[in-house]
Amino acid sequence: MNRVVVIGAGPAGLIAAACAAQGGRQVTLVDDNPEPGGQLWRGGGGGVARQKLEGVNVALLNGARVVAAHGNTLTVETRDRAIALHWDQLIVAAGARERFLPFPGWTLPGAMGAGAMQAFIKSGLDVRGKRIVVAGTGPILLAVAALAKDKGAEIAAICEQAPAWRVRRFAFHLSMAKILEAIHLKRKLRGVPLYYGTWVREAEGGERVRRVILSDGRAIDCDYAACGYGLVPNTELLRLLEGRENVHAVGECTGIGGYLKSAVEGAAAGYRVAGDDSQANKLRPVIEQARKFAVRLERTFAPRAELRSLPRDETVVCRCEGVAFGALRDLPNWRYAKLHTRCGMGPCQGRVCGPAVEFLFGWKPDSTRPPVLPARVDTLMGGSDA
Amino acid sequence: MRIRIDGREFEAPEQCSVAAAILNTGAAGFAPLCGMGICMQCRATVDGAPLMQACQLPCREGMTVETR
Amino acid sequence: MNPDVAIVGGGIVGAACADACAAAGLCVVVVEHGVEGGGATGAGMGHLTVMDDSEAQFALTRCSVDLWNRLGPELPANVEYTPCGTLWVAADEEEMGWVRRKHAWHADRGLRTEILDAAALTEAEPNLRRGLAGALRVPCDSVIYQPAATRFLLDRSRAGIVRVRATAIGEGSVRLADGGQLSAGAVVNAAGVDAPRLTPGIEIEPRKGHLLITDRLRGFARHQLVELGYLKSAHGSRGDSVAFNLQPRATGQLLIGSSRQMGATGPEVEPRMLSWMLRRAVEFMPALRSLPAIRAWTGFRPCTPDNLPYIGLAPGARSIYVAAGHEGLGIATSLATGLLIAAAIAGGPTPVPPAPYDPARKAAHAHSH
Ligand SMILES: Cc1cc2nc3c(=O)[nH]c(=O)nc-3n(C[C@H](O)[C@H](O)[C@H](O)COP(=O)(O)OP(=O)(O)OC[C@H]3O[C@@H](n4cnc5c(N)ncnc54)[C@H](O)[C@@H]3O)c2cc1C
Ligand SMILES: Cc1cc2nc3c(=O)[nH]c(=O)nc-3n(C[C@H](O)[C@H](O)[C@H](O)COP(=O)(O)OP(=O)(O)OC[C@H]3O[C@@H](n4cnc5c(N)ncnc54)[C@H](O)[C@@H]3O)c2cc1C
Ligand code: FES
Repeated sequence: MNRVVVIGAGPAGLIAAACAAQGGRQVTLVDDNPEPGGQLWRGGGGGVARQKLEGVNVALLNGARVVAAHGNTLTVETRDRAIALHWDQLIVAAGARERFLPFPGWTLPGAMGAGAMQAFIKSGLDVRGKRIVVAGTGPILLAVAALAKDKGAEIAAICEQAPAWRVRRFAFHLSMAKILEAIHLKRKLRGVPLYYGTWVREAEGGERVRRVILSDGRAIDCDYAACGYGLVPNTELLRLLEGRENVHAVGECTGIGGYLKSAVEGAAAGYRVAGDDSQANKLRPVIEQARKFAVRLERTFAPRAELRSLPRDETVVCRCEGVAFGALRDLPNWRYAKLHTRCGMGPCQGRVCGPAVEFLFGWKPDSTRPPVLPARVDTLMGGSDA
Repeated sequence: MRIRIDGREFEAPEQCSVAAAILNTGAAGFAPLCGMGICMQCRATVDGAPLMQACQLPCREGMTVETR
Repeated sequence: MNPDVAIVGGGIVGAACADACAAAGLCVVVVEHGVEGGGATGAGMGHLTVMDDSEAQFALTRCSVDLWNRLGPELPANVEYTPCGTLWVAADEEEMGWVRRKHAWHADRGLRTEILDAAALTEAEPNLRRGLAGALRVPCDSVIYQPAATRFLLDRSRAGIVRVRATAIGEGSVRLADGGQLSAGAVVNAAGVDAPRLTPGIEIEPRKGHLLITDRLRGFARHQLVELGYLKSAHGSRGDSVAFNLQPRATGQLLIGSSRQMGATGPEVEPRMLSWMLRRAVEFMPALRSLPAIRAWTGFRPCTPDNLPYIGLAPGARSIYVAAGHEGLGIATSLATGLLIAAAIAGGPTPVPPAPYDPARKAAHAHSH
């Protein structure tokens, strides 16, 4: 038997699943969102996601999260049942999440990630007439601001922490398509203040965000502060599967490189599991190209050192367990912090504070164990086979 | 679609997530962070089931949501 | 200046030894190569319970649980000291017989326990399934967050921490992996499952256990709940076993245990054991099924052949002491262990007769053959 399972129905996973199925494989595609599409085509992307699967035989499992992996079996949880999913070839396309860095006020209602703002708008958040500050780093800021403006929001400011010269140098190397995309976005955002080398130092307001203070001291009134510091790959599943054969990692979970990297890596893995190595090999040069872009992206938008001094002693770093910066500052490593302050031990399992403490203190993540996502007790008791 | 959030009725658009619906009502103290199933800050009691991830859950007609 | 006592191992047992020695006026250094409380201590449950497997076990656990209860009010909030008591749950009439025998046995020794019939059990813990026979309530038992307790004891002892691995122990000295050497009046081996590496002649085997913790769900259970069958699991055959053992944490989380495996050496969470353990728990508490679990992990209990810890002078030694091998009760019995060690080093009264825990007992046993 040659059962292919693909985890993640973002661009990488969708394309991988489609290519594998075209090659005659029996493919199951699992994703935890209600609709396929991943980050880019969240909510289905107006039908784009499902189009990728048209005419190919892929079993799509939506609203299904992979919570554990053991041997050649995945434990998958849906709203009402648990499934043991066997694989012979596994494609992990688990994507990336946003990096959040703590600053005073980041836990107030109205403060959220930049990608989060985009996701919420795509899933029904009404931003008409709202004043929004979009801040943090990366190309995503422009995309978020353009979407919000399009939906009737007033963008009070866009703050990119990377200095202007670095972003310009990055732009210089972009492909024509990407340059056109950027021009298109900028045109949409005409009249919106865009500050480079600037970041949100603090968010204020009693019950919810009312204004943000920028690094240059300026105060800007707003209803929402959308701050995201780039993306971090979702590597938990891969770490759980470490050392296993026939596991292919593709897309953002192997490094942040945008749509093209995810698409071509996905296609190559899809061909490969279908036994079509020659097609897969043809994609090598494009993949190389995409990976170079990923490196430039990372260099350009690396968070600056000043962001390490934003949190005050009382600023919460681990939101699940309510652990403040002051309690962590002088500790030797994450293992110690976990045990003695419970930082990272709450329901998000350090997905939010992990990248933050890595940036703030240089702490490396420690072991990964099942369940990689919260799971019902009966799921871990063993599900039915599929 | 009509749903109840903390005892009050609201109209939610098609394909609206529970978290977006709660944000639209401006419910006090609701501070979701990621919008994509990672941070667990959006959890709410939905139709009696506690700790549901509201950002991963589409609204359905007649749903009851408690944010605390 | 050399310390009076060098303790190898910064788990709860080493920390309690440090605390008791400091209270006896001794100057203490702790050698810990990992994180304080990061060994078996951090992996365990933090149930402070009186056990009655043998007179010696009863004496040690009871004394130590009393010490904890006296310390309770002084513990900082992060230790989450919760005097919730234990319910030993009887599944059927046979086990109800054990409940009555235990009750009488405890009464003979001046420990107040309480028999709950089926109705009283349901009232006490409505989430347990119907049809259980009853329970024995041990009101003096409690629960703590043991890594924080370890930190508290170490801080209170003002022990210096040496963050290196100890490679050997001699009379009055500890050899360190960095090439250094630590001189001290006395050395205590509190290295948990690793203790036999430093003290030949004692026998400790790791006994693997799984645990799972849920999200915060305040009010689901009020007592530490343990099935009476646990006693079979803990002390019966050396094969793999599981038992229903559920602990409500101060955070509102539930800690679900427990499993026991001899001979398993890897720390990985084993789906077979996890699933078996959870099935057992759900048999007693069906509503657990739908609760969200956030994490599972494993730990290794330091297990001796007779299930009693080694506390006292190492076999054939003059100033080397052992405080290790506490199996599944090291959190509970740590404080009494500390007092025994301090008394052995500095003199003075012992909290319980020390003979049953003498590390030389096995050696003596071996000689008689
Ligand atoms: C918040 C955010 C916003 C972004 N916005 C843009 C944008 O506006 N424009 C742009 O070009 N790029 C954007 N990106 C980058 C975008 O992610 C990539 O361009 C591309 O979509 C990556 O595709 P992928 O398939 O590798 O990963 P993703 O699209 O992230 O897909 C991964 C999928 O796997 C699912 N998954 C992960 N773990 C599990 C599990 N254990 N069980 C089940 N399912 C799981 C995820 O929920 C997700 O649906 C954004 C990224 C993020 C994180
Ligand atoms: C699943 C499980 C549940 C449990 N539940 C309970 C419970 O509810 N109640 C209870 O009372 N007990 C319980 N226990 C048992 C309890 O955890 C142990 O008995 C206790 O933690 C033992 O403490 P220790 O200090 O001897 O060992 P450890 O905590 O293992 O400490 C030994 C320390 O020595 C260090 N060390 C080892 N070798 C060296 C060296 N050469 N140099 C320097 N440092 C060294 C280690 O790094 C470690 O930190 C449980 C155990 C498990 C596994
Ligand atoms: S908003 Fe982060 S998990 Fe829902």
